[in-house]
Amino acid sequence: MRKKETGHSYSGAQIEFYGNTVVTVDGCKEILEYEPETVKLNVGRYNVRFTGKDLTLKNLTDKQITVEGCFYNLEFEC
Amino acid sequence: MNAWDIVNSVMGYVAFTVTGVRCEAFLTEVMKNNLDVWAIRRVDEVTITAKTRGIVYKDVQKAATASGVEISYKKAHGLPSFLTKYRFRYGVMAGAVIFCIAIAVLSLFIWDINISGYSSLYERDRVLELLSDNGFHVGAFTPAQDYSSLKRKIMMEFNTIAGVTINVVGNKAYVELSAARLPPDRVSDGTLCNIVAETDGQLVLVEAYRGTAVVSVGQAVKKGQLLISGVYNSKIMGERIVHARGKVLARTLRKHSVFIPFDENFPDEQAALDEAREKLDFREKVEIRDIYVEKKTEHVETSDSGVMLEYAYVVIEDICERSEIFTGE
Repeated sequence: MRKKETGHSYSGAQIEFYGNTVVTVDGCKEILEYEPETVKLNVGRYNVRFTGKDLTLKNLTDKQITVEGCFYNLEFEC
Repeated sequence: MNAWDIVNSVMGYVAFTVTGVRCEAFLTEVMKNNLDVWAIRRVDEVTITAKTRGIVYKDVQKAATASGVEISYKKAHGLPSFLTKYRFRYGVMAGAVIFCIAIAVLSLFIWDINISGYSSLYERDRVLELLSDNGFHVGAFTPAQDYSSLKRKIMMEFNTIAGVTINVVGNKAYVELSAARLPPDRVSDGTLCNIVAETDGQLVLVEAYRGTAVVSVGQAVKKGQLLISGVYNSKIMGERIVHARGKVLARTLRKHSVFIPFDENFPDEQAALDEAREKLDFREKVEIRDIYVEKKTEHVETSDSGVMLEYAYVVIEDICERSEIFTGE
């Protein structure tokens, strides 16, 4: 029987996609690479790479970053 | 233009360019210092453009210095930069100040009076005249008005008006009149009259003290039907017209209903039904007071939008209404 999934505490960055046009990454430590086709972020124990077209950093706040554009791919580099 | 564009236009912003091989380090520095930077675009391999608030531009410059990139100011946009541009043009500044003062002063006068709720044009004109006589007219100074006094004067002057509301929105005054419910004209004892039915019903008692009863017990009557005629056939004096008097009781039907819509106060049927019962019980205490109730039935109708409760009463009540006889004299 499947256990009810409540009360868990998750660790690591929170990556939230709105379709394939906007992504919000909460828990970003460093911006490693920024090009119109790729954005690479350090989110702690691993790096995240978004690839797509016309990528723009819409907003930067404390540990949170919003990227807009047309996303093709998401990679985790451990 | 969305809400953020309006906010940015009012608050003002600065567009800048960052040049260097370590643009990512600059962005990380900006993020760590929680600086308000947005619309970041890569122009070429060593250049990015972005926007920030004018007041945090110095902090952004510090972040650029710390991360070893070159920052250059492109252009300031929005209201603060516009005002800065014209800060030494005293004529423009004076014009703006005069404009603001003119708007502020002119908004203190009434430019239009809108009256609603009047029963006739004559009444509207008379209310306007009364308001004008008391200093409330087009061109009057708004802060000098005594609204309570105006309302009192209107209500004292007009018997047909039960309430007055005066609202001034900007330069426009809205005067709302509430019509009074006048009691029916009383037929004095000396007047020649018939007695007619006030409402539909079935007669249970007919007693004519003066005049001639033209209906009998058990008969159904309609509203306005003649019950006791004022034309009285006296055996001594012949036929004559009198002020008819009597007592006529009838079994009538009364219905009270109320609709309670579902909302945050009444989320379910039971809560709405309790509220409806409370309202109808109160109405019963006011309207069915001192009346003999023979039978009472309750009907509940529930829909998606709310609950409708209806009380139907079979009561025995006096249905006499005097109707004056016009003889033409």
